[in-house]
Amino acid sequence: MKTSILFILMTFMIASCNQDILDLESLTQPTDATFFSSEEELELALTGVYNSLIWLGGYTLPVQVNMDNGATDIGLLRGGFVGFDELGAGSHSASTGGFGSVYTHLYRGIGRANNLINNLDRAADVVPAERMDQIMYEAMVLRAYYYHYLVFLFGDVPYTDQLIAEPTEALLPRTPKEEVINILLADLSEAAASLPQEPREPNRVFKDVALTLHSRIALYAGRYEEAATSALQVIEGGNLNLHPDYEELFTPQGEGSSEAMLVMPFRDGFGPTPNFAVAQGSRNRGGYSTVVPTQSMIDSYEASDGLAIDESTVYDPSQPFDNRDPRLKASIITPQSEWAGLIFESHPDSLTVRNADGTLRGANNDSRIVIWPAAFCGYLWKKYTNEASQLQNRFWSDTDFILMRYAEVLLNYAEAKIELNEIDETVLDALNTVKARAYGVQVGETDAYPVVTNTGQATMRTLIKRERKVELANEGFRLFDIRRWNIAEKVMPVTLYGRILDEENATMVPDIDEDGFVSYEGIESQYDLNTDARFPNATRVFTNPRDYLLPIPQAEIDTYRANGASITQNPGGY
Amino acid sequence: MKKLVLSLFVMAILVGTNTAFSQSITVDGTVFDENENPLPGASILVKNTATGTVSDLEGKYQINVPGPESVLVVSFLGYFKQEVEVGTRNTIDVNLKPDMSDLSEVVVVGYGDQRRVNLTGSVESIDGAAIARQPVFQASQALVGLAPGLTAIQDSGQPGDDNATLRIRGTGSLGASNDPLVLIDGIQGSIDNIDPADIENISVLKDAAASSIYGSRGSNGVILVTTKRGQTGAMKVSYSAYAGLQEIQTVPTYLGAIDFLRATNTDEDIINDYQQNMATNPDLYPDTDWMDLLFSESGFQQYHNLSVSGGTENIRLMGSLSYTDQGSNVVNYNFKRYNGRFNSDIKVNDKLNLNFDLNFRKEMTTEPNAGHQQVFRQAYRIDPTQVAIHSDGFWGDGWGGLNPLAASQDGGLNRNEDNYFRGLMKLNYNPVKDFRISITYSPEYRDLFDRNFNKMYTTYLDWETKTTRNIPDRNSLSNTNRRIFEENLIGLVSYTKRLQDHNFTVLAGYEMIKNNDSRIFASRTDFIIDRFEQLDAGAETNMRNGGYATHSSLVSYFSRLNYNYGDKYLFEANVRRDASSRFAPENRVSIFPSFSVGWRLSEENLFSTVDFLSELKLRASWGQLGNQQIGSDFPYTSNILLGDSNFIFGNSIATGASQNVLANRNIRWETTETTNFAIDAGILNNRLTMTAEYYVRRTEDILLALPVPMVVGLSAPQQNAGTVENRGFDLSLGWRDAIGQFTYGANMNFSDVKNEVVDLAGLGQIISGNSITKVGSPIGSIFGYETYGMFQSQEEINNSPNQFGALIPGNIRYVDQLTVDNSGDGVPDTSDGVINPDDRIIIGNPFPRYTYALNLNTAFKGFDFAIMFQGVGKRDVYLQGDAIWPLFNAGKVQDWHMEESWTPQRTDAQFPVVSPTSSGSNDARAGDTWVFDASYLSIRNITLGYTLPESTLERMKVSNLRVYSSIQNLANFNKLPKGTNPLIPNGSDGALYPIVTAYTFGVNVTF
Repeated sequence: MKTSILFILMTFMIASCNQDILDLESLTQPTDATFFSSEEELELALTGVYNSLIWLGGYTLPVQVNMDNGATDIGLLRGGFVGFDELGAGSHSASTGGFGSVYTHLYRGIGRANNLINNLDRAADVVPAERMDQIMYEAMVLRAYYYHYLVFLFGDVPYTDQLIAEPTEALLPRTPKEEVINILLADLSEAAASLPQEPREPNRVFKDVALTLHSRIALYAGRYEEAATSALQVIEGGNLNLHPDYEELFTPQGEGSSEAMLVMPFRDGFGPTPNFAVAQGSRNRGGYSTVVPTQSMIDSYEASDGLAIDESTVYDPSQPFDNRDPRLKASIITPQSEWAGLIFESHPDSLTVRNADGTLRGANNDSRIVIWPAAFCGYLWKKYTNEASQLQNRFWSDTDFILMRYAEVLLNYAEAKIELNEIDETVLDALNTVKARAYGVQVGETDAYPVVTNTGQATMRTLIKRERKVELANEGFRLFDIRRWNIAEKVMPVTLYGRILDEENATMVPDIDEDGFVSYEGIESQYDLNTDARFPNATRVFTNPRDYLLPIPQAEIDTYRANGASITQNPGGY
Repeated sequence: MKKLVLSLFVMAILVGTNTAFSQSITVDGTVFDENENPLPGASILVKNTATGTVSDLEGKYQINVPGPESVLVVSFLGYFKQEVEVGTRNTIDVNLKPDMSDLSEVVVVGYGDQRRVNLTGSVESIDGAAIARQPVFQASQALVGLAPGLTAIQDSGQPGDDNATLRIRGTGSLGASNDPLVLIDGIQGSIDNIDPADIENISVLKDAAASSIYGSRGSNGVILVTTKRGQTGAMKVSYSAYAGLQEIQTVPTYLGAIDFLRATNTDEDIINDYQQNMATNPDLYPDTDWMDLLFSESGFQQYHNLSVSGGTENIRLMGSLSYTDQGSNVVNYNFKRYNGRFNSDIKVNDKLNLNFDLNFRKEMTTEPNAGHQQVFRQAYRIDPTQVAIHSDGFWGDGWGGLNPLAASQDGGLNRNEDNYFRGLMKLNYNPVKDFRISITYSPEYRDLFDRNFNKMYTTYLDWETKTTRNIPDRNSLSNTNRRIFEENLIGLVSYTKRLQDHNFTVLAGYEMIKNNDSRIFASRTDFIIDRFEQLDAGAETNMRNGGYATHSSLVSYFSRLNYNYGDKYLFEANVRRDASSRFAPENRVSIFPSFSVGWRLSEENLFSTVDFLSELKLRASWGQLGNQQIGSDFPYTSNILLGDSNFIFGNSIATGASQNVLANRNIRWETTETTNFAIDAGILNNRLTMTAEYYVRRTEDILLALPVPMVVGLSAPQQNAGTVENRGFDLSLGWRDAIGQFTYGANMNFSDVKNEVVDLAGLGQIISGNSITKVGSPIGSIFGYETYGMFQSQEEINNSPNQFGALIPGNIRYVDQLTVDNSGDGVPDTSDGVINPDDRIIIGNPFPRYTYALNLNTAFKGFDFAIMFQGVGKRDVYLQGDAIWPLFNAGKVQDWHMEESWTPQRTDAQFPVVSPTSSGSNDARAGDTWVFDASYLSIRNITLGYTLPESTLERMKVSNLRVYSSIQNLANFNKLPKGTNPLIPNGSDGALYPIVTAYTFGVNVTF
């Protein structure tokens, strides 16, 4: 018996002595040694490149929303929002963590694209050339998309189109911004020439996306000729239309509209969903109202006669929300309007809130006297604050966030042509198409909306600035616009006033200058002034010219230094 | 059993050397123990000769001595040696007195055991009784204060999660684990995986000499747990049980509603109105004591164990079955454990014996899904003017829907099951004398199943209109199943040889460990009928699932040589060669050696005249160890992660693939080098024992995620870079004696370890929140602002550097450190006139220093009493948020704030003015104001027992019956603000389950 037991145990031991037991491979992850060798693997990697379009900040909102509300004049944030709240408050530094995460996120997307583009050849024998091209160009457009944020946020940045496998190879110097832009524009032109007219599936990059990004980059870079050309190609291509209902475009009903060219997709059951209803929503419905529009945003919407409110004859400060561009009420929840079954009212004196049918509901948490974090200026964003989500499932707003849409193409074209002083019918048509849609009518129905006519380059410049501010509000364009128009130093360091307090007796109207800057000088007393120190982002500071660019993250400077290299910081003192 | 083996061993030696004398006297007699029972196997030697014999099974002996002047030396392991002059007697009976010191004991060491006197490494031995005495369910918790150099930190009282974090001689690693290796009967496990009552003995291997035989797993020290086995003799059936109540040891007390309104400068009219309505209308004018409502339960706990033990010479068995049920002071927290163990020893023949052991365990931990942040932190925060429960029984809205009571009672449960099964088969084969082969095979299976249900509760948003709302917006259930299968195979060969005074033992072994780990996950949301907590009952719209698997293996060869000369000069060498699948093939193998020496001075003739000194030994050791617990099974390959970077095209979710972490092909183990010096002494017949040790433990090639440029677009890999050093000493003193029937003993231990980061590969410092790891300082030091006290006037504020936001007198005044280098010598010499993060410095060290414990025990006529004091001499703790800041984030005010905070009348106060703060406010920052001296002295355990006299027992037909009562964590003396326990984790913001005091009553009965 003893020998048999011994024998069995020895067998166990010998069976296990096998050296192979040390040569293990991951059970769930392939390694780069074998990857990129089939069409399926290329598609998997390409999807990974798309994934970086999902770029989330505070309250898992798109970072674009963080930018518009934290660091521009149209909105305000309370809480941490990837550094843009600190940028607006002027309390940022090179060590501000959010800037590092912005920088990292974008290079992560670029790295994924480079990894795919560099290794594409491995599958050359098994994948048709046409499909290889398509995969490469989709990745190339996405790479340009990530780079354009880097360049317009940080200025000169290290440019590489190679996958970096050794940290020491990554100590790259900054490439001049113009050089990077040249490369991006060339890549996009090449991609546009090869990509199909239609996306091969919804949400994929196609020809018009490449062209629109080309026009955006060129416009931001002041290269108006190129901007106009590529925008015109999109317009003439005729693939795209504006969604008939502006307000609906940013709701679940607007999803899948042909106006939206590139989106950050959200869906119940897929990845994180943005907490729009929490961050932007009413406190009476369980929102926190931490991301809100400012009074100057409200006052930037034209009156219905097509004039700024300080020139309009139909604007009445005692009824400030009547006779206005419909986009005001489409984008913003104004006092006494109905929202999520309640009558929204933010006046400090309104201690109770009523249901939509007029019955009393209870304490009014949208009044800052009832609860201090209520909407800072007295307004809420309606754009993307999904009403259904506000009522139920506040954390699961699943409306896709639009990153690129046809209205931008029209405005890019109009602005480029205005800057070139080539203001013709096509320019007016582009602008009027956007405006007409705001009123829910066709461009030809000239009686139904305030038509724009050619009033000379200077006025047209004012008009296009105003149009971009209201049309694209809360979509992540304002930060780049106030920088390239060099008006950040003027619009940023101001006191943020809230709603008109005594509407009945309100008579004064703020001045609005040619850049769209709204000045409350001399009429401050008409407005609510919320001085609660718990809104650090309400005190706006702009250090000119330093804050036209973000600082290179201190951590990156330190890493270079620790490895015996160096990378320059942006000027202005950090 | 051990005694028997050793006596047989001694007998064998003596038989071989026995010689007859011609002109001699024959002496006979009996050797007795302290209870007048005959003692078989005792050794009887004629002093200064090689003549000797051993007592037989009746304790009788017979020996020839040269003459009347001869002296007999009678000894037996565990008893004091006795010398008797023969004189004229022919019959000499000897009564041996037990030696209660532990120097005589046999100590479990790596892959074997050894007599304590012959140890050269640093090993602490803890008797199972010291663990079983404490009414705790996690064995790690019972280790607090039991061994010098072993720091056990228990900072939670949550049932099932109240285990202690164990650290042996400090913290050596940053990127890898610092947990010691725990082996249960030789196989890797978790110390909390075992019913404390099953523990026979625990050995703590502290230095490299003791633990280097465990190579790449031993750098954080090793804990060897031996379980109880059957003894030869009649079958004994034992039942032991205890039951008791728990009580939160200490929690803060807060201002009531009226005082709170005053503290927030509420208008007197409003306060008067509030006061008048409070009694009649608590729905609108509440005075909620959140802590009192939260800690509402008795915390009943009970434990039952039935065991059978005994056997014949050929088969010995031990079987036990136990049930644990640990309640809590908060609704819905619970821990249950079912544990079964069956250990058998089977003697096949004289050369072959076998062990078959089985162990199963099922643990069930229940807790509210809301978690500590929502339950405890909110209870620490929400002020008394918010309603918890309305008069009609509905939940109040608390603070913006956060109601800790509703969340814990109605917010759904996390139910975690841990099912465990282990089999162990061990074969011992002795083909020839002193030659032993053993093979152990142990498969182990673990199945963890978590079911987390996030349930909705309904609150009154507005009492008057009875408007309600649901928190959260959506209910959800997630299930996770994790399965681990581990195989362990150990082969050992050992040979012992004695050549006159030269004693050799050689051991060689092979070990193989294979681990497979896989998990699946699934979740759904929107359970319309929420009493069905199964996935099928949820909606399909937000279904998610996931899965993951990994594996690893380790193959090792090791060897040990023990040599001693006349039990006087001791030497030991160990070497282990490990190969791990976690490293690239070219870095896979590593060798870990150690050497140690000992010198028993007390065995030298020089000391034979020093009567009071019964034992004196010097020891020294050096060795190297590794750490392969590096957090990832495949750190050396560039892995493409699937499914982590998906996107939606059209209507379908497309799977994405991406590489996220840069690979480091060169990654290797961390290496720890330990040098140890020690002295052991036994004085006054070993009644007083003492051990003092000094060590230097240096860990190199520490894994650090050295940052790579962000341009790479990948996360930084772990790299072997840093160096950390721990220097410290361990001291223990023991005293045991008996005065008649009164026996008593005392054990004291004291230790300290000083931790210093030596090198961070040029990084200089790693800041993580409010802690910093910096060259020249301990790992994880507290990082924040130094303060000058408080601003006394507006003028002082105006003349000071800018701080944070608008300031008022009574706010904290921070020190503007020298941060600007004007002279260009690289040393900052000027302050920059603004308080910003650059002004932060190290303001504390949260690792315990000067840990000590004192155990006292006495027994008299059936009564036994034990008390244990335990403490920490130096530790800093930074507290923040709702744990300490008044009116933080619309929170409340602790009673002591009103007495110790700054007011214009109390300008020398230690704490700033009570005023509303939120994250980022001047006073709500990591400053030394909020760093507290967390040293303490606690009465860890008091036990009083009574064993019924045998006369009574005989009538009751039981062989043993003991009843006892015990208090765990009775009191804690410290310098923290009232209501705060010094065991609170560093950096706590109040999201913690506080430490509890347990009062229990128990009984042990054996039939």
